[in-house]
Amino acid sequence: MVKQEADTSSTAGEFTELPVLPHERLWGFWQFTSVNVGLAIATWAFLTGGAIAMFVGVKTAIVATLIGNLIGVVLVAAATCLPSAKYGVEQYTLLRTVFGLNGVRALVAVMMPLAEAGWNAVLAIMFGRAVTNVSNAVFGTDFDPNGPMVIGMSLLALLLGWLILVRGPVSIEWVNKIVAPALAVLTVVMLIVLLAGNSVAELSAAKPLDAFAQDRLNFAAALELSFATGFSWWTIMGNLARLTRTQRAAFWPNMVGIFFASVVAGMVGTMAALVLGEVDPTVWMVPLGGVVLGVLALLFIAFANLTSMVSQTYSGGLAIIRAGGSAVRRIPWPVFVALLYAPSAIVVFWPAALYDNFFKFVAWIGLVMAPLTAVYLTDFFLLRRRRIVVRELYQPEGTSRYSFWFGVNPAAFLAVGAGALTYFLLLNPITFESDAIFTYTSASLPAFVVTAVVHAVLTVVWVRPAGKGGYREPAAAATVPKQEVEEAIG
Amino acid sequence: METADFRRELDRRLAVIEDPDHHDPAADDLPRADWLWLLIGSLVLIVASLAWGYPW
Repeated sequence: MVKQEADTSSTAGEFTELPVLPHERLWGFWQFTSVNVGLAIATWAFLTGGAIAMFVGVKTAIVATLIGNLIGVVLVAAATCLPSAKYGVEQYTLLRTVFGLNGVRALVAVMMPLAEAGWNAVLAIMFGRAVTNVSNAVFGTDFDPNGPMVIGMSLLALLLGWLILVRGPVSIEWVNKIVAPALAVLTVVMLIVLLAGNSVAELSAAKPLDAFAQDRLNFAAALELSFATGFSWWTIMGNLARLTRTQRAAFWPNMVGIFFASVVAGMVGTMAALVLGEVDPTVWMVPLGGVVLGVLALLFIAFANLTSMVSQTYSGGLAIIRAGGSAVRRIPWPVFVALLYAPSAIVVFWPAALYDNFFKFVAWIGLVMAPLTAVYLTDFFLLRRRRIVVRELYQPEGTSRYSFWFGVNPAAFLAVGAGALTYFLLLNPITFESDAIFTYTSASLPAFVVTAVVHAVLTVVWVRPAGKGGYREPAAAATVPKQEVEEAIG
Repeated sequence: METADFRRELDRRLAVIEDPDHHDPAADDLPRADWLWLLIGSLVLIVASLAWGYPW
């Protein structure tokens, strides 16, 4: 099966676009919850928790983490999970109704490689630092956290990721069966060790590691990182939710898995960072667990990062194959995978630039994902009243009711651009400098609102009157008879 | 982009979906009560959290 998928990736890519039928829907509430918990309990949750510890102490971190993740996850789950579950169609096929056929292709072609490069570089460097710290703890070496050893190990991680993925995406099964439960155990053990070794008063008194002078600004920064963490699930949740059996099963598991599990793992990360005075999770394990347990934990983190790299590269790669058309399909699978890893292989030569600025990377994610969530949510719930004609999603541009200008809906892109610009003006992800009003508004929420308003207005005054996008004549029902569809589209 | 197999399978699935007798429980919208509970629960959590730990 592994080899088959590698050899026939184009076919695999095409067939994931098909709408699922009721008997193919695999997941009820608990199954989807389990999948969500598996996704949420990942090493990046520790990184996010560590980043929040830069700005706030435990009490404020709990508030910011709860509120930010809650709002982000609710909005993302509503925007991506409900449409895909309702129609059984994967997210990027449905997004044709928002961005247009070629618009989605352009979005995926630009966004996915950048996201892959960033996340893979972060995970590879974390792998490199974990292995280096094992060497330092066991063999008494003194390798620098940004030195050649870390760079070499990061490159090794990318090479291993490439080797695994060339042979097939088997590691994706490991994530839910082995890695996620083991990471959950690691999280609980870390929490017990932290609570056993530090009183509540000591934890509460722990000072943030690199805070601004104003407490409210620190809260806003922590809240913003939590918003971005919630919004970051935008890229994958819809594709998973289409396999759920009801809308309830598509929505509520996000609150248990993505929200609650992320908050718990993130908070453990924040506490560890505050107690140990270090944001890097690979530095925590030996001081927390001693040499033996700490080294085991570090080796496991290195392994978990590898599986995360392979999983997300595989899913992102399939999206690029679907979007890229015949030109991408002609690229041999091993070369294609190598191209996906190549940008990360450059980034890891400067480990501190990305890994030690993880909070800025998260801010970039918020800048992109908050507007994308807003435009999808507004389009589906407000402008289309949750009605999509599934057949029309698969018709050619010009024939489909979801046709725009050359397959692109400029209104959606302008709205996302306006939202991203709003974010940038409120919080600059390059410098992490903020406008005065950011303290009270955050950046993600205004970006979300601006995107929603701009998209709604442009659609009503421009796209709909032009007869584009199928906004003028909403479909009568979710699953209308074929004859009715044919009448509707003439 | 599409293979003949893909088109054939797509048509088969669309025919099932568009059949007047076809009903997919997942097509039924999230009940209004769920939205209400979500709104109430979220507001309670946000207000309580802010009251407890916001750096006023």
